[in-house]
Amino acid sequence: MPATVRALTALVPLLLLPACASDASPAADAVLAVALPADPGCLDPQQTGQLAALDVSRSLVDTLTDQDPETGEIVPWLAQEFKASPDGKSFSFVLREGVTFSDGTPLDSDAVKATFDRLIKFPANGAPAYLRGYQGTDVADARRFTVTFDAPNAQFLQATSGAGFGILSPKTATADPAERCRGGFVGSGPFVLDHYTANQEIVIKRREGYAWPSSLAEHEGEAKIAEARFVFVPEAGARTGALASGQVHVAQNIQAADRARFEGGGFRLLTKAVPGLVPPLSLNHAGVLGDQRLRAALLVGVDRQALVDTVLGPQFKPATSVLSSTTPFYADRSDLLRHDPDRAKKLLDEAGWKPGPDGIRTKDGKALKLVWLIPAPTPPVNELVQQQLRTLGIDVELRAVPPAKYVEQQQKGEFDMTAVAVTRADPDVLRNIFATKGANLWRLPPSDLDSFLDAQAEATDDTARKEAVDKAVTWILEHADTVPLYENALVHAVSAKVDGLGLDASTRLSLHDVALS
Amino acid sequence: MSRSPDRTAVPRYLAGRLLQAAVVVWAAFTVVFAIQRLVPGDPVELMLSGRNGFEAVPPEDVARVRAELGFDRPIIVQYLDAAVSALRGDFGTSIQTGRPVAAMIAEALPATLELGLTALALSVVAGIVLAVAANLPRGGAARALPGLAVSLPSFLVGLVLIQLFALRWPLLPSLGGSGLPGLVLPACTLAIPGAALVGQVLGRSLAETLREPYCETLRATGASRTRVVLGHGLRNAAIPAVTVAGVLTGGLIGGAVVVETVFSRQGIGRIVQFAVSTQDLPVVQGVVVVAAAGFAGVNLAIDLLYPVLDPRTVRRPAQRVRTVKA
Repeated sequence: MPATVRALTALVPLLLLPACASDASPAADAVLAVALPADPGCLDPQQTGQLAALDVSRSLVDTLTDQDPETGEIVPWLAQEFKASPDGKSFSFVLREGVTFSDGTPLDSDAVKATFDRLIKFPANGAPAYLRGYQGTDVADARRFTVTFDAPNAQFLQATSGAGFGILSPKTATADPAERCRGGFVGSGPFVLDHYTANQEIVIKRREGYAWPSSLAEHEGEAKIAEARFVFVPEAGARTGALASGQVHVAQNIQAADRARFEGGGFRLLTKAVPGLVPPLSLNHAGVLGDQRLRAALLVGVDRQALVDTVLGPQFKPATSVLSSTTPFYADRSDLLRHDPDRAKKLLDEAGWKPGPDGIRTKDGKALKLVWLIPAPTPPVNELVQQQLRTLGIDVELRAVPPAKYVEQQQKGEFDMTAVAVTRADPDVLRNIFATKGANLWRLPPSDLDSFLDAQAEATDDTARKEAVDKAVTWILEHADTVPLYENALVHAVSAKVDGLGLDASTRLSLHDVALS
Repeated sequence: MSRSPDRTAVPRYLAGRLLQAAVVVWAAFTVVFAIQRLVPGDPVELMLSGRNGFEAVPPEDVARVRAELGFDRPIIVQYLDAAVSALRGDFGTSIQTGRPVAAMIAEALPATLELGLTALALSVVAGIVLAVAANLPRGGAARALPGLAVSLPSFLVGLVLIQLFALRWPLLPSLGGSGLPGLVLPACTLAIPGAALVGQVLGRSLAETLREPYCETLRATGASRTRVVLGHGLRNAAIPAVTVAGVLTGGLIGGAVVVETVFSRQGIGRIVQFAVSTQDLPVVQGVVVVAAAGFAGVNLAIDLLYPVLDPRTVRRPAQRVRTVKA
């Protein structure tokens, strides 16, 4: 018996070995381990805009431009020069010299043309949608080319900074889309794909000889870590556990309750306010919310500060506009979003909704009930909004449905409210969501808003664009077409051993400058 | 001329069981096909919009991809095509990942088999220990344990084990991806409900057996209770427990969905969970057929095990279980 116990005790260090192996290796062979919340299923940045996929593919591809996360400014990367034509319809670029794809072929104007010619043929949501109106790429020489659109396109330069516009080897353009999803695409990034095991992990390795990082990079030359390993850990508790026990260096999407334990004590939080359209109540104008007074009551009836204080945590902020404060051309419109329950009640009274015996307002014998369509599971913040609206006499049904049903019911307009937010550091997200020519899920009537949205898209200078964006935002809020709730924030927890980990302007992980100690 | 009934009984029995297994697999295939088509939602639209945060997709793009994947054909054509291909072991390609379903399953199956077989072995061993303990003097606690264990949700058990053995005492990894150390916690989590079930059924059967006259006789000859339980009762009480172990195999596949998610393991459970939530029909279809075939195979094996445990079942296979208590 004691012999067995001794044998088992001897086994314990062996069991511990795998967890410690990465700590013992010198920094140049360092392996960064990241716990992602989901297996993205598809890695091709042209085919998927999923955050987990782009966190990986961002390191595999380079883009013509980069966007400064602080200022929103578009800066050189593969393109050392770029210029919009005076009419805003065409954009000329000059590529830097000496860039090659990981298959050894040169990254030249033809490769850019092949990349964009293929991108426009993918289904038009996500990155391909940003190329709408694409007429073609004229190649002047190996380093000079011009991209032309059928209308002025103010958002295009920002689009060229996103991973979805990463430049791919011409061979990739003819590759099978399913094969590309599995990682069968070739970029020029600081890392190359080693392997992708479904539901298990993605491993990327340093590209030897890489020498063309973004102009925002802290160091020239190849990546400092040898390898990055992304493991898929769907369970939030398991993600924090893996980080706390040293199995990974970075754990993504940390829940509010777990954040405090990663502030200090060998860890830190990496947080960033997400740019783009803030999470709102998106309102269906075809139903009972066709009444503007009712929509306006929702707009001032929600206590945004309470959402942040009680549920979301200090990394989040109350919405002060339709756009988040980290979006270029944002302006503070909190004057239109002030919490005012008395005014909300007055608006509801005016609209004919009178308090009923059970506190729920009624009109012509009908109770004021709103269906909030939610892709399951329901986030806690939705329940708080429901409670807040209940005090105004509005009965909100939280209808959490599986993703399959969510997409279908949203398309059919079977909802009063839903929440559609868009992550992108460009105000053109307003046009994607509110233009009546698009999907128009909210059944908005055509209005001046359309012309403001077109004007910001076609503006050829920043002043004109700013003016158009301001007009659009003001129109949306004055007509209470949507109810902005809070500014979203990414909250990752990072081991103190990790240095130089950044988030790009679209909040994707940027690994080129990462070092491990 | 007279033939011995024993000689035709066994092959006929075998053929019957094989046919039954085939019907189970075909029925599973057909029911899943029907259910997937009856529930609302368009898998293609879901794939395209899901990849971009549920952003709306232009209808013409959806239609084009639907046609590329063959979803615009009449439903009966799709069914026959899927059925014929499945017979050849070709379950088509996943809508979400574009990979051949057979390859996805082949890649994930070893991990799930490793987990499932370990858990099954643990269940049986722990179940026997529980059952024996419950029938020994002062076995009261062991009698209460299965009822408690079977009511613990695996999800909770898994998280508690991670808290204890990966965080408080960092002995084992909480990400169960790699090697033997990574297998311990998930297999234990998955084994707990099965162990409780085997323990309960075997315990009751054992208690019943011990009341049989021959056991009384053994005790009267001076054999200790422990010796009667281990030496004689266990084998005679085993048949219901073996039946339960067969049913357990089905439960393991369901349990794998939860356990593989909690411990971030790759495997069939993860594949099926993602495929169901995204209506990835070919994948669901493929996994169900493989699972049904596995389940039918295990139960066939168990049917063949009965005669070993109780020779009376060979003589009259049709009444195999009932004859035990007669």
